[in-house]
Amino acid sequence: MILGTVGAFLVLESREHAEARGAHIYSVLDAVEGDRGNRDDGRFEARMARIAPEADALDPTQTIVFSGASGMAELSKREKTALETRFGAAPVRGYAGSIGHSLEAQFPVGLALAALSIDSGAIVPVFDAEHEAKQAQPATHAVVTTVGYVRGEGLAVLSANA
Amino acid sequence: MSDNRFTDHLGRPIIAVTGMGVITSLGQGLADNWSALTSGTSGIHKIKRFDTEGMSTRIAGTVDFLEVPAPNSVERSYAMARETTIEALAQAGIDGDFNGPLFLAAPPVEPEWHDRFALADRAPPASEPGDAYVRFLAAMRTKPDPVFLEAVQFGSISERLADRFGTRGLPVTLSTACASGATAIQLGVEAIRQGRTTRALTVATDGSISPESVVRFALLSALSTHNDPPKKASKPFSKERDGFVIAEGAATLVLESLESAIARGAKVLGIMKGCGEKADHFHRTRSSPDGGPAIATMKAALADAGLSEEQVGYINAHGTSTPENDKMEYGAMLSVFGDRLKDGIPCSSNKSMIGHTLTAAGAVEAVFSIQTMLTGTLPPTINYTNPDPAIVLDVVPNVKRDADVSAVASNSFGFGGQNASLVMTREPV
Repeated sequence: MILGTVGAFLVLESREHAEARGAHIYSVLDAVEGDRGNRDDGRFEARMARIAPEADALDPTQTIVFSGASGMAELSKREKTALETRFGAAPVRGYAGSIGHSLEAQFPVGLALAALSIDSGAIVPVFDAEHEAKQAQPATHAVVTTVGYVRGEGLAVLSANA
Repeated sequence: MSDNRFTDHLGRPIIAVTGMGVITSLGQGLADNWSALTSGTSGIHKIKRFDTEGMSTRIAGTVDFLEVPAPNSVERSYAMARETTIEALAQAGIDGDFNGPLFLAAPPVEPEWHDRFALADRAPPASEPGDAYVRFLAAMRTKPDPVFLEAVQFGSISERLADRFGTRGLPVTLSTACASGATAIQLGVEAIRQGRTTRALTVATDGSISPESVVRFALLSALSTHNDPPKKASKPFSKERDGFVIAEGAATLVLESLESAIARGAKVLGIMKGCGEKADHFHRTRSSPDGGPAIATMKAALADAGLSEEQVGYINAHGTSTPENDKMEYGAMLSVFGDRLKDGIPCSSNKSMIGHTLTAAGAVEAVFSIQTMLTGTLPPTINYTNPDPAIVLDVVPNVKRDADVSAVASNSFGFGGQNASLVMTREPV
């Protein structure tokens, strides 16, 4: 695990409030859920498959996954497998490889990166060529994950503003 | 929710308190604490946990009677939270998994001095100036130390509570400085009002007294230096008050929608009627001179409760015994409650006896506020021999008093301008 210093600040508004004041909507936050517990005997994988059920409807070809994986080798491997199981061929970006692991700020910074990439129609470059696939087309949806290096998991779903 | 016996003035679920547990320097459990508190007993004593030689403050309300597996803030805070939760759940008659969310107010923690010294002792010798960081990392790499890791992670307190008591979902660990305990309760209240749950476990704990914490608060000139005798040091609203006395403690409140409490036949101890919170951005440690944010906090809590100030029969003051807080709090209360404050609303400070339990204070004092209504006894403000002439309050001086109280306001005004007030009532309406 390589630590990184990060500040992340998100402004969340109801669509009605944002539109009324003419604010630019970077992305829509469809779902967010956190959970925790024992990680043995497939329990970790079960939670990663279950939390934020809204993610199940996503089309992998339209989706990019921003993983907050800490870099703890075994845990990150398990997360990668869980993401492949749930999101198939959707490209995954482990952003700790770019900014380090920012602990408490890791999840919100992932949300910010996901919102920016959706908003800008970006092809997000590969951070780690050995483990990450190229993104074929801009994504209209993003999944953000966080897996604590000791405890806790979270997952969010973002979509382009319709 | 069509039955209006169970909804408040805004149509929201009424929140019942069905279980309470408390630990302070006065002892373990509500019964022992209440007996000591109403007999005017102080829990403040000389610090024995570490050497205080040369320190300006050498007294505190440490909790030293619980066994912990390692001497650090996380273990002490967890042990107290565990015990108060066992007590609260037993009173609430809840066995097995709690199956509701956990809101935990926990102190900020960092490595204890003795752990840092121990790490330095096993670090390799210096090879060049300024290489302490590299040497410490080298020492950690030679021997992983999971006990040390747990000791610097306050998230491990809520994790253990969640596992032990079977709470649901990701627990929320929070800190709003001295208002933390009240904030934990507020989050529980809001979760039930929003219909996300019918019950919430709200816990506040603080076992963080260490040389570092005492030195830091002393450097802010926030602590009383009245070391001898320790029992006389905390003297809220007195002319010669000279700072707060740092202390430890914990409290747990089981909150339930009144409807669900009645449905399962639980005994309702009191009603958590309203919460108010406002930020004071005047200064990092000083409060706004006009008391605006503190006034707004109390008014917000009353409005949330749907009560007028005339209906409040007792105030459980923040009353830290610092020159600044007590003056500011008095001014704010005067603005809200008016002339009735001088002899119509008794207002005492539990901190005169238990000191300032910091992160835990809002919840500890909420428990005592409910107990005040249940028993019809006002706990006194002790060490009140020389009143501050600028503060004209009925502080229930030195001796408890019988009083039939149906509504209590409790204040928590934290360093950094984090203000929270709670309004509790004996009956649902």
